[in-house]
Amino acid sequence: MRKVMNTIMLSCRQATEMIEKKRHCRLVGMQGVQLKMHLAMCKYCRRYNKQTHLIDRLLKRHRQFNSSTFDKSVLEERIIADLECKL
Amino acid sequence: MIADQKEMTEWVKIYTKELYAFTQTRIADVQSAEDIVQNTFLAALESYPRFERKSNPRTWLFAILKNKIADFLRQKYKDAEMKVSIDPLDICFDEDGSWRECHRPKKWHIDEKLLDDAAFLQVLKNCFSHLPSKWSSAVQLKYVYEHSSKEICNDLQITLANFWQMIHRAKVMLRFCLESNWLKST
Repeated sequence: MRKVMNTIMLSCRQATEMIEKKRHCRLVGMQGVQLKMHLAMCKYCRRYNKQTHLIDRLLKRHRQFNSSTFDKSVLEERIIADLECKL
Repeated sequence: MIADQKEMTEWVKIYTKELYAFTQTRIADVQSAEDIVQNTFLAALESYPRFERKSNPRTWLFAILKNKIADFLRQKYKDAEMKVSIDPLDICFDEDGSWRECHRPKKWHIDEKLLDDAAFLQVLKNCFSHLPSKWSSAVQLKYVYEHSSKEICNDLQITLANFWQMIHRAKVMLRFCLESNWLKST
């Protein structure tokens, strides 16, 4: 019985993988249905689904932190000085 | 020789910002990004005699830059490959693939305001820096910079299957790290 169940039902580990994949590519064949079924029955994976989506939105915002600290003139001066040594 | 210097210096002033911005979409680490831009100009200086005056210097510099970025990323993953030995999925899930009790997702009291909460974002940044660099690059390129999966696989020289494995592990780890560090402080 367990073996049959395992082929029909996704494990939580597999469900989390499908959740990530679903964000960017279409799930094939039965995967979409299997995921829906699993989420209907598993509150932990439902939470995971919600939380991982929130993280995606956060990471998008995180981008702003990356680009604001660049000081153009310092890097430029360094490069120019470096080139002068080589010439 | 003096003509070279003047022209190169001009190019540095004109193109550094753009080259750096491009590099940053692929390489998060500021120091490495700066070094790569710098090395691009050095390489351009060395190849200068071969530069065809009729072609666009921007195109030429970008070609050099892209090669340097690709080399850097390839080397980085060669190094990183050795270090990742524990699979976070084995930590979070048991042999049947179910959540281990201590790793089950807890309820978060999610407010949309959290998206702008500086403290929350700081926890996220810290958790992010704990990811193996191979994975954090894949996640950054995908979620922060929204590159296509195909492009990323090409840049990082990995297969699509490997890519999804990395993303899966990174997201599981990130979520758990965020939960452990955020909830304990509220």
